[in-house]
Order: sequence, then structure tokens, then C-alpha cells
Amino acid sequence: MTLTEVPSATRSFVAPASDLLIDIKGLRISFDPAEARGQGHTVVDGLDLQLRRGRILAIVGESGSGKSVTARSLLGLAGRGARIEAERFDIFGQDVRRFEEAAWRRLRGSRIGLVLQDALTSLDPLRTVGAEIDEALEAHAARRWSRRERTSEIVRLLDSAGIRDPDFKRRQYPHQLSGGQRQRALIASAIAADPDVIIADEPTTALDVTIQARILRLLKEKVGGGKGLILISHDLSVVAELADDIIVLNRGKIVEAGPARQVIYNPANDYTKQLIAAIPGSHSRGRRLSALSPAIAAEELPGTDAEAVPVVRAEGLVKWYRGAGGEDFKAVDGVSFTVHAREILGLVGESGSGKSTIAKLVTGLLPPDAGTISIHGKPWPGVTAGERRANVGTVQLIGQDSLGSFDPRYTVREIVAESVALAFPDRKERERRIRELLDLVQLPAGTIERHPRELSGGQRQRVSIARALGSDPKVLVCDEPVSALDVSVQAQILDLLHDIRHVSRTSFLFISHDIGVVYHLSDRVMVMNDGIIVEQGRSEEVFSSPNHSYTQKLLEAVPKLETERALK
Amino acid sequence: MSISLTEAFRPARPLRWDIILSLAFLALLAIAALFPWLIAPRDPLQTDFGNALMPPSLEHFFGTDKLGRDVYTRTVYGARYSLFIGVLSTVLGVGLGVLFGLIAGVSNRLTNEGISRFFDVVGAFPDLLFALVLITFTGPGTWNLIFAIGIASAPRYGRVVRAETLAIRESEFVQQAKLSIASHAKVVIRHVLPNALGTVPVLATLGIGSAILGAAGLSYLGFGPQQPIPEWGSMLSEARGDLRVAWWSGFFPGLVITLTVISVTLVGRYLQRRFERRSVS
Repeated sequence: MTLTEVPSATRSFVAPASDLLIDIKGLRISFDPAEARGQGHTVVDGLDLQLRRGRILAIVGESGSGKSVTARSLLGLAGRGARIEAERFDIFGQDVRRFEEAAWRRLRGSRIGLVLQDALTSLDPLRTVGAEIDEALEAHAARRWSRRERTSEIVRLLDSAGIRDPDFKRRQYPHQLSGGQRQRALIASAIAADPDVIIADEPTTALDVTIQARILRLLKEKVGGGKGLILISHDLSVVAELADDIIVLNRGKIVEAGPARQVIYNPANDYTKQLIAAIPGSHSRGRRLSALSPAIAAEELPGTDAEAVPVVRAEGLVKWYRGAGGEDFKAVDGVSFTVHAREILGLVGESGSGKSTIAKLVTGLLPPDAGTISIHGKPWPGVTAGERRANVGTVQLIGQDSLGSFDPRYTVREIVAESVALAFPDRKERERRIRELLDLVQLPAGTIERHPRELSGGQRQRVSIARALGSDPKVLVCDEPVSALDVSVQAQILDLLHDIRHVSRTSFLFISHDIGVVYHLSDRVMVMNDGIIVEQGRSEEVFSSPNHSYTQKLLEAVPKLETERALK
Repeated sequence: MSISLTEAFRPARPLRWDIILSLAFLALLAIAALFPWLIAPRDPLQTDFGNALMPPSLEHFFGTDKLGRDVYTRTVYGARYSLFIGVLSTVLGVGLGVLFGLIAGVSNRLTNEGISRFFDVVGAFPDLLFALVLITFTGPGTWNLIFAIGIASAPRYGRVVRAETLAIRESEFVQQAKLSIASHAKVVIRHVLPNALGTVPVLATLGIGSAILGAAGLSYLGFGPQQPIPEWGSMLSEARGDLRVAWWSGFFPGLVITLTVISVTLVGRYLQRRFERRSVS
């Protein structure tokens, strides 16, 4: 700050002399049982946090770690029934422990901006993004703007958030924008009042890697001007490149905190080490991701990799969807591939690339408009009931939302029994097989009579895997099977799938948007973009020396974590 | 967030006092319908012209009507007819609605569209008006009343069941079931139907209230059970001429109708909330 510069007179606060924006010591957040409907408990305990100008602080933790509620407490938005105690809780040098709602409101938006994960629900669907930003300007900006000034400011903000053609886009509604554009618009409105601190709660979790990379770059630029950024994420690899400091939270407690380099490359805490080890990618191929998942002790079946007839042969698949405006949309455009016996074929692509349509075509839930699929040389029919009957159970599916894939009335036993019944008509043998499968997927014995909604996300996915294996399928289609899971649970499920592949005769079609996950597991891989397979080949080759420009773009966008070095 | 929806919604709330009162009132009605002589020892049809239009007293709790009949006894005996008509017409309406709703939901496009448009046409009339039209064709009487109200309310249930069926047919667990169950009919019977019917008990409970009200309305117009049967609606109708001099002859049947409808609706709403919460978690 130069001597001639005077703090803006319209600011309600005088900027503190120190560059310390937020200083918290011994933060404890608990929920009052009466208000939180009998769920009173401490969610954050003894958290210390300091944010300085020009720094990026990352708070990393899995679901239930208390990272989001910590972020909200910085805005006075911890929620009904939340009790916040701290030895020190200073924001911009002010003790906020005694803050009333009105005082918080002066802080929110104007001095602390918030960017949430889900831009579609955060933006008002009935207002243009321009109006959204306009509101932020009106409420918080340092001075009154004329209408014309505001308009040009909105255009400038959208432009600086990296939205192309901002003068046109400001007049559009959230649903007319893509996910990445919405997230940018949200960032534009969060920075409209030029706040000193930006809090971004999982700002890129729902986005594709290429867009994620751009959003993260944008956030980083914003910090350049002496602001502070708090980045909240469940994913260490996302924050690794960006953050200056990292706090790792587990069950409301800080397990490790320090400069980013140190936390990632030289973690001291076991939990942090586990988190880093759990990240799948090139370095993790053939290695177990989680120390918590015991290897399945079973004899490996003899390899038949070189079997002559491929298990799945898809040729020239085409699928059209009827668009909303009467215009047809080609989701899959001439896709051909083969899956060999006991092979894992990875399919990677961004949202809208047609991956899930491929899953539906291979499972036979959707008939192709052109092209053929054959399994073991026999044509795999479409949805015509009579033809399906003979082949039912040959192909099984593991989806992303396992809870939605279970009949809500069914218990775990009934769910698994349904597919087991195909291979084991005899009741007694069926019962034995169900238990065998539940053992295989390492579900605790007590879960068999329970409903999936009482189980954790990871356990549900195990039930889903057990069901899929029940009919002894030749092909297992996994459509984003780990996308909804925390990193450490994801690691366990990936380990399980890896083991199952060695003890069963099943071939896998493994679909994910997460390149690390696909790379970790797949023997061969296909890269899909706009309904077309742009590249396929052995995983090592495709990922280490991609030929197609799209693959290269995709790989560049993936946050890299040099964990190989970190683990040594 | 650290509090998942599942956890936040799970704690069972104690029954609220309004639900307890409603259930108690409905229990009393049930006794009145099944064993009216237990709580009303007199004869509901016994006339006594010497005691016509007597105000409420210890002798006659609700007073007497213009024929000297005890209004309390008639109201108690009336529960039988009103509840009978209300429940039975709801059962009929739900039955028809579920049947056609399911058929529309699981069948091909032509049948689906045909049934839906029929529901739309019938549903475009107010229930009571449509029932009135039906009963003018069939003539008055208890059974005709049940049929009229039942048929008129069927589209309401049918549309809900159809929409549920369509949504569940496309749901992920039904898609998944198709991978393990060969026959299409089996998938429908095992997974689609039971889940589509989940809301029906709730809807039916809510529907009983309006069925009782509709039955009372049509009886008031003279289309229901005929004299001297002590049905609440027809009691109201009879009392019409005497209200100026003997408010009690119409007030008490009216009060009981109101309380019954409120109780049934409260219980129905309670069930609805419980059901919705269950599907959230």
C-alpha cells in the first residue's frame, strides 16, 4: 500500500493493518439436540484457521468431516441450532462471536463472497444471470451505480469470469447456460462487490475436468489482487496445485495442517497418507488403494486373455434422442469396440459425451438405432421381450446411484436373491450363494436383513456389486460406480472390483468421467467425445502418449498429484 | 453437510394432540356405527308427538325433532349409514381408480392416452356435480349413492396412480430389475405395482372425508337413504324447516358431519406426512 492511498471512505470497516483476514482459534461447532431434531453432536472440535491476504487455504475432508459447516460459520450461516464457540474468532480484525444477524449481513457478500457447488440451485431460475449480479452490486458495492454503469460492470464481471460474449450471456437464464458457465456466473456474482475473502465450497465437484481446470485457474487469478480464498474440497488432488496451505479435517478435528507442499509430499498423519494413497491414477495401477480393504483370498483363475472370440463385439452403434425442440440429437455416432474375456475396458469422457448411452445399449435396456452388439458371437437383442428372456442375466449393471437402483421395499437379501434366482432355482442353494456373494463383497453379516437406505454409500455399492454378480454375468457394465463416493470409500470399492475381476470370469465395461479411476483399473481404454470414440488402445499407451488432441486436452486438465514422490 | 437428511428425519415424533383427539372421535364413531345401542339405548325411529321439538336436556341430549324423535339417538344411529356410504364409495372409487390407473400406466401408448383423456373429461366436472348427474339417472337410494360418489371420485385416484406408475416404470430400480427378470409382466407385478400403490392408502383416507361430505350433500338433496332412515344428510334436510324454532335438530347432525370430516382429514394428512418422510429417507 502506497502512502498516498487512503482506505475507501464508503467502506463500513477500516482495513486492518495486518494482512490477517481471518483468525480463528479453538473453533467448536455443535448442534443443539432440540433444534437439530435429536441429532445433537459436535461436528467441529478445536479448529484453528488463519487466512492471510493473497493466500489460498484449502480445507480438505470427506463427508461428515465438518468442512462445509466450518465454511458456513465464517458467514454466520452455520444453520439453526448450531452453537459456535471459539477462543478467538476474528474476521477482518473484528470479533464476530457477538455478531447479530445485521452485522453478519454487512459482511456477507460485500466482504466475504461465497461460491457453492451447485450453481443451478444457487442461481434463481426466474432471473437472468445479469439480474443476479446486479443484485449483488446493488446490495454490496462500495458506491451507488447508475444503471448504465451497472450494466457495463456486469459485462466486465462476466468477462473477467471468463464467459464469452458477456453482453449476450447476461440476458440469459441459468437453465440456458452450461454447468461451467453457470459456475462462472456464480463466481462473477460472488466477486461483484469485490470482497476480500472468497469461500468456494466444492466449486468444481459437479464439473468435467476441462471446465474444472478453467474454474480453478479463474479462482486463482482472483486471489492475485491481495484477497484471500478458502477452497473446500473432498479431493486432495484438486486443491494440491492451487492451495498455499492445507487443513485436513477428519470427523471435525484437524489431523494435519501446514503448507501445501509439505502436507501433500510429506504427510505426517496416517489419515492424510491414506487419503493421498487412495487417489487412483497412473501411479496406482496394480497396487491396492486402501489399506482397509483386505484382499480376497481366492485362487486366481487361469488367464484367458488371448481368447479368440471377444465377449462383447459392438459394431457401428448409433443412437438418436429426440430433442426438446423437435430436433434430433445423435448421442452415439458409429461406435465400435470389443471387450475380451476377463478384460476391463475403460470408457472415459465428459458429461454429454454419450458414455451412459453406451451403457444402456450394452445392457440391452435401449435398442440401438443402427449397428449390432453380439455377446460371445451371438447377437445381443434389443429390448424385445421374447429375445431378452433367453439371455437375461448375461449382462449386469452397476450404476452410480445405488440407492435408486434398489426397490425401496426390498432388503439386501431380496435384492441379491433376485439375480441369484436366475442361476440357482433351488431355494437352499440360492441362500448359500447369497451369503457367499455378500462375503465376497465384504459386507458385514448383519446387513443381510436390512434395507439399503440404512447402509452407508460404500456398503450400498457393495450390495449393488453382489447383485450384479448374482446371475453370473458374462459382462459387467459399471457406469460411474464410484462417482458418488468419498475418496477413501472409492478406494475400497475399486480394490474390490479389481479383486473380483481376478476371481470371476466376468468382463468389465468400466465407464467414468474420472480419468484417474479409469486409468487405475482398465486394461484398455476408449476416449469418447460427442458420441464418437476418438481414441482407444492399451491404457498405458493412451494415457502416456495420447494421439488425439481431445485426449491430450483431457489429460492436461486432470489435476496432477505427484504422489509417487509423495509416497516415498 | 454433516447432518444427512436420513438422520434429520428419522426421529419418530410423538403423536400430536390433534391426531389423538381425531382418532378418539373416530373410535367413538366406530362404536356408534357397529354397536349404536351401547351408547344410545332408545329407538331412533320411535316418534313421540307430545315431545316434538324439545330443546336439549338431560332427557334428550340433542333435543327432539318435529316428530318427537330423539336427535341424539338418531345421530348415533346415523353414523352407521354415513360411514358406510363414505367408506364404501371410497373403496369403490379407489378400486376403479387403481385398476384403470395401473392399466393406463403399464400399457401401450394408445390405451394409456385413451384412459387418461377419459380421466381428464370426467375429472373436469366437480366430483359432486358428476355424482349428481349419475344419481339422477339411477334414482335415489343408498346403493345408488355409493355408486355415484365412488365413480365420480375414481378419476382423482386414477390419475395419481397412473402418474406414479409411469414414474416408477422409468425408475432406475425397475430398469435394473429388467436385467435379472426375464418376463416383463413379472417386473411390473413385483416392482412397479407395489411401489405405485404406496400412496393409495393415504389418498383413500383423505378421500373418505370428502366422500362423507358428498354423501351428506346428496342425501340432503333427497338422493340418499329414504325416510325414516336417520342418515346425517337427510336429518339436516328434514330439520331445514324447523331451524328457526329448533336449531338443535339440524345443528347436531351438522356438527357431527363437520367433526368427522375434520378428523378423517387430519389423520389422512398425518399419514401423508409420515409417508412422504419415509420416501425422503
